[in-house]
Amino acid sequence: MYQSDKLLERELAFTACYRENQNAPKALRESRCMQMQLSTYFKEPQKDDLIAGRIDRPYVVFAPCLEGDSIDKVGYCIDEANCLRLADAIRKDSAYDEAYQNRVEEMIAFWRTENTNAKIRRRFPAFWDGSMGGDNYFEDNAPIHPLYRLAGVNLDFKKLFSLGLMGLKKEALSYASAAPAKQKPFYEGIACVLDAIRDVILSYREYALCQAQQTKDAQQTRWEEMAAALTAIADNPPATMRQAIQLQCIYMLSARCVEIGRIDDYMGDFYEKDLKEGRLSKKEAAALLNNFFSLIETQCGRDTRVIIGGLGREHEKSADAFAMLVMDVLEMRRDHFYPQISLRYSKEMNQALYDRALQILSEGNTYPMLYCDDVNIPSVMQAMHVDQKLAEQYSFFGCGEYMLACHSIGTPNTALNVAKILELVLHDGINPATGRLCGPKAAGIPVKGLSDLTCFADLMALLKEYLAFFIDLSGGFEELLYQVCNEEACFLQYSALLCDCMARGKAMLDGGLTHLGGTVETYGNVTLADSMTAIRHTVYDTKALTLRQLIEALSHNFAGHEETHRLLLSAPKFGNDNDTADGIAKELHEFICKTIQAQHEKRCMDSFLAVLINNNMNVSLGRFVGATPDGRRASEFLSNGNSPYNGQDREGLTAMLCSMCKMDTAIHAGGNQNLKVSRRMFAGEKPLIKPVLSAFFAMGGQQVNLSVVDQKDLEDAMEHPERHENLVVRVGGFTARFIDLDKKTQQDVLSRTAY
Amino acid sequence: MHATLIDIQRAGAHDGPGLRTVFFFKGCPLHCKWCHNPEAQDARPQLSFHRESCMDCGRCAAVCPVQAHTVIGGQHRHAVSFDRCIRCGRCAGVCPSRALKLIGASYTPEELLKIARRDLPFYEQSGGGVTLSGGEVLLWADFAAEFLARCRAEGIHTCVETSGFGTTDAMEKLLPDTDLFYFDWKISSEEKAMEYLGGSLAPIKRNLRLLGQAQKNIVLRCPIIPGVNDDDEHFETILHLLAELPAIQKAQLLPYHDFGIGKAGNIGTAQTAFPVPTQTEIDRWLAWFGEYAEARAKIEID
Repeated sequence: MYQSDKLLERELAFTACYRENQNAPKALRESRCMQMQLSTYFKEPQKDDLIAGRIDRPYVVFAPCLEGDSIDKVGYCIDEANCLRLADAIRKDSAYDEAYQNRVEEMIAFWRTENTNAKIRRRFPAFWDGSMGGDNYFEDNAPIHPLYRLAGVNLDFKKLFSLGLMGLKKEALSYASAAPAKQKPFYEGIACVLDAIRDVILSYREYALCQAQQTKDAQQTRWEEMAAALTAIADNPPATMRQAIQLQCIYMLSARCVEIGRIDDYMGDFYEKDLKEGRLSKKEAAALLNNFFSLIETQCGRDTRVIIGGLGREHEKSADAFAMLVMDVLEMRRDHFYPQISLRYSKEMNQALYDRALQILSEGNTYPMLYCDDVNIPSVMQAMHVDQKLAEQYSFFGCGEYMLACHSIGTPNTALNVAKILELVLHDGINPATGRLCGPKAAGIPVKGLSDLTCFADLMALLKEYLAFFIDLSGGFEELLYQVCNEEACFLQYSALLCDCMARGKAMLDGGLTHLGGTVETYGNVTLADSMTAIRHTVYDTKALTLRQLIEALSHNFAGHEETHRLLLSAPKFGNDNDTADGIAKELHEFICKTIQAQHEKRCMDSFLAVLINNNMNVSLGRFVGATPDGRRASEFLSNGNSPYNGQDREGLTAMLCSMCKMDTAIHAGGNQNLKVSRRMFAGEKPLIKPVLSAFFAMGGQQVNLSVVDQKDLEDAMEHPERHENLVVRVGGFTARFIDLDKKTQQDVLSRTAY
Repeated sequence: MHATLIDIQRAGAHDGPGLRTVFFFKGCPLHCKWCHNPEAQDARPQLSFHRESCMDCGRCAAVCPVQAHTVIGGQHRHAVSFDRCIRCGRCAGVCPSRALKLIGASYTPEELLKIARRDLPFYEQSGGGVTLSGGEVLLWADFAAEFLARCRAEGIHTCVETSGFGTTDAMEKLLPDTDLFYFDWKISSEEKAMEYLGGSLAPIKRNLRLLGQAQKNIVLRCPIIPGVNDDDEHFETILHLLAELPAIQKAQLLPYHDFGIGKAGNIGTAQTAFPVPTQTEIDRWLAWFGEYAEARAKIEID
């Protein structure tokens, strides 16, 4: 295992390696850098680990996605803040000579312009000036933010398991021998990286053998078993569940892949065989899986998902058995929020699996999240233009963006705040928070002003022009990011396990993927819809207000305009099965989703889709939006996912679900629905939750995040956090301990209607 | 054909099996002192004023043809003279904050059916349906019979919640297409009935027997008001009814709550407050019935 007493030593080595290979073919440069990176990347297992695989990440790395300096980074990345901190320490430490200090400073300066994020930003077209927000969406007040990352990849672990590392290398080399010269580096790069991963395995093996010699009894056995698994996978495909998990863990960490994906599909057979042949008990299997989940949770940090159930799994029986094991582990891991475990439901599914999921939910767990295959598969077929077989491989990551497991990528690379866009429209393109022009006018595109509007249709048309402008920026950024990333690297570990890169001899962003997808995170969609409904109702239908009066009230955050505020609040709202409010929501939903979808042709992607995203960014982005015409006050949270605005669903559970089902699911890549229910929904001989969910799914409900909570507990937890340490709630796409949330997010959760 | 309703609630989980759409008809011949829907007593549309929502903007006063609204200086400036109100609803039409509402909207059976149909998938999955409540449905027997028949024709389960205070003729109209009756049994002595309900027990008893003889499914709904009917005499009568009429599947005890008081204030009337029962009292009722093996399985708290 790598050890050094010199700060930034490995970052310097990595940088030197990069510079030496700066003009080499990108695949070779990447593979050599990766070789260097992996040689210093891993650290020793902890005392109770059953699986080897812990990392100590340097501050200069190559990765598809990681966080640093409070933003996401892609490709060649530098965590500049930490490098500067260490550079400072080096300057103050006499153990380092001046030459070392200079090398460090030069390294930081070099990467400042050479890192991939910077290369992308340098290529922003001029007309984005003033409109594209800054990189830090927590601080910058803008309607759109770039997100630098390649995220949401479900690798083909079945292939990895059937070939093994060396089998995969053999495949690459055999392709290489027949490939034209310009494709050879791609295959050779893959082979080189696979060797580097093998070296990691071997060094862990040495470590484990060494530990086994120094320990006794159970500890010794544990190290021996770990060493045996590592020995087996260094040169051969895995033959047992332990070996498969071990290989997967090291591969994922090497590639900085955070998605576990459809584990019941690719792990079920190993599990069943191990049980049958008496190699493993259920309890031992659960312990292994729990350790694996913990490693991915702690070493990857975020977003990781496990998906169980659903159509398109090769051996359903063993997959279901493994899915049951996953739920046992989920119960063991009550206090852990990652991986986010999700169940794909279908009418015909194994009822025992579904019942087990509902039982776990009824106990106050927020997992599994439920996804309905009966709705999602046809929706994915339409949205992504793929056949049923491929659509059955739909999978989701992070906050719920869909992609196709082993076949595609679905990274969201922009966050679009549609409520903020309405604010721009109502201020003739000026962002009231900054006083600067932003949007089509800033880009020199002539659009109507507020004073030109004569009817609601005019306003709607103007809003759509603004939305289309920012959506075009989303598409442009996604295209630019893929382009620059492809110029910089091949993302070899990904390309090795994504269809059909190997066969095509092309990297994932170079035409290798079966399906090149992309997504846009949209926020505040229902806030926007309710706002437009309120404007139509008060300004154009009842004529209780003029548009100017309304904007005046918004600019004062309703202070001194209480009457206007109440008028706006009493306008119809989405979530009540009200045809007017739902109709406007539907119109905007379709416009936003279809306009995004249409970008895929312009941007040369197989699909480009909206996601009605669900995390607590509705709270953080809400801080940047002034009062909105739906009656929401300035800085308050925006609507979340496809759910009605908090507390505005007043007509009961069925009306809310009916409203949600009006939103077309076949034009986007995932919409989230939050449903807060009380325990009584699960009570009695025929608990109501089952028919409610069955009806919802039958009506076209796509997905549901169930939180089973007692409202009184939440209220009490705000007053007495110390009494509610274990209270766990679903905050959009994430699960969190209620008392850890900031007050605003707590209020957001509390104010959602509970049924 | 039209009926006046005070409200329509979807996804009701307490007014029959499964998830239900509950239609509250307006108008009731009884005047139970603890009525929890006082706005459903008068069969005509009527004004409701929610003080907390009012902004004292005065738009109501400006449109009122009979000066039922006055807005003068000071806090809570807006006052409503309900006795002057002619129920025209103009004020509610201009009220920006919905503090003023005209309770009672008119519907045809077809309009109600359209609303019911929206929740069909939920009825199907949960074994739910529609419940006609009130007010008193018997006052709208012809309308209800038509609506029930149309629901039945579409395979929707039907339930009627009734005080039983109405003519035999009216009840007979509801018989054919009602799957389940939620039948109130509020009080057991004629004297108390006249005092607390404002009507005789005779028609109620007659209608209950009618349903029993017709072997309709019945759930007895018994509001229990401390100091009024939480006594041996009433409880014994409930036991007796359970034994006498096998059509009664169960009796649900409904502990008194005082939600009606605020609602009565909104429509310019006043309602007597009774003591809200404690859990200990409720446990005592259950214990009382628990003494009788034959009743135990049929008594529950709702």
